[in-house]
Amino acid sequence: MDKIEEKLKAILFRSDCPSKMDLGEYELGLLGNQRRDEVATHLTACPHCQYDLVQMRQFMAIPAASIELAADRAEQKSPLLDKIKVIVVDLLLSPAGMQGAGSFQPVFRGAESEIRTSVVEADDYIVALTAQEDEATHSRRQIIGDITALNDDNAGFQNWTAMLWRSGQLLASTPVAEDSHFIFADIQGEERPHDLILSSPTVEIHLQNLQIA
Amino acid sequence: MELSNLNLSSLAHLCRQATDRYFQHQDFDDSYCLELFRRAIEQEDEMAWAVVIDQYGSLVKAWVGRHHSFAVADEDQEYFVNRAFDSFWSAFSRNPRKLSRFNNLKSLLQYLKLCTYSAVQEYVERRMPPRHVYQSEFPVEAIAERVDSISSVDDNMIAGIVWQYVIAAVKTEQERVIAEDFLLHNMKPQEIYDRHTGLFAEVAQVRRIKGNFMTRLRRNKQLMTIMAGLD
Repeated sequence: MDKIEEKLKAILFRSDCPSKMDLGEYELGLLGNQRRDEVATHLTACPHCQYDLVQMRQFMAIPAASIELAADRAEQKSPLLDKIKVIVVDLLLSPAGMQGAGSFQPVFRGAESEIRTSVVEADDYIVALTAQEDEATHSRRQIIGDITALNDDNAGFQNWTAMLWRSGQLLASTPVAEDSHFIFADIQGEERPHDLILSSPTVEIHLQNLQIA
Repeated sequence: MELSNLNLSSLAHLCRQATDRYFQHQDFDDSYCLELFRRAIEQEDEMAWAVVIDQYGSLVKAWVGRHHSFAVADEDQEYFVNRAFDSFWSAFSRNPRKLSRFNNLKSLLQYLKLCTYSAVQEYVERRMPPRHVYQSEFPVEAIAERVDSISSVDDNMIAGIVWQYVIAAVKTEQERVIAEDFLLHNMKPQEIYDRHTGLFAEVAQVRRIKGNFMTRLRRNKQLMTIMAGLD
């Protein structure tokens, strides 16, 4: 590529794209008719904006109720957030953070009778997840998890809770047992990504974009 | 008592309670928070605006921390918190009537979340090459040089002027498509060919037309003078 081409691209690249705010207002249905149509037309032709929109939707859908509540309740002088260590692993963006049984496997997907196990590294913790057909309902899934602390100081899970979210809705919540395992039963497989939050008074582990299909 | 007669500290307290209940998925009254935002934005009450920032600052900070690009941004969370609130304020100050389209706390917080997303994303994109598509051929160094020297307003203006020259040089629909897809969207000939079924006979034709078009642009003295002035 010669210098003129490079320079033209540097100047013009995405210069016709709507701003992130415009794209967001389009998504939230806040644009006037004319601008809405312009953005819609642009979206059909621009792979960058299509990608942006996907990313924006993921961000807007983060089921951060617990973190939001913590943030909102935080006192100005001693923010609760500062006391809670939040570990976020986005399985869509950070597949390298996952180690499957023999191969990276960030999704629970496959034949109904198939059992899939994934292992996720989240800072000082390792979370193992297994999805299998729910024996009672067959068409639904049972998810069995286990959390391990890499640091002995973090061992002990009696005050931990596991929560499964999808599209901002809490689907299931269960305490983590003293032996560090937890089970979600009767979970409907869906294309939409799930988020698993493991929460203790001092640590929150957010595993985002878990596929249970 | 009318909400408008409520003093600010009471309003702030009631809004905080309502927000707490909202996040706990309990019943709550939106009206206190809507009134707080109304005073801050429509009445431009600086104290009310300070309460909004105080009330939701930690929330915005948490959102910033969870933005996928924050880790690669060379600014701290507070910087983006300020930018998010600036963006929120600007959006409504340009059009105060816009606030009437938000009739509950959830929608206002969604908008604040959008401002947060936008603040981080636009910052990062202006300083980093797009990594998700077409990375290998993108003129990273050229972009980096421009980011250091030109503001976004200048960027848009210059891009607008340059694009006028480019589009004026277009003679056919095929050239228009190539100009847009290649220069605006950084697509490769194969991708351009794939996206426009029937417009090109083969990928080689895309390359040929692109080559001819770029040659024509290089012969445009006015355009080249502008480009040279950007060095």
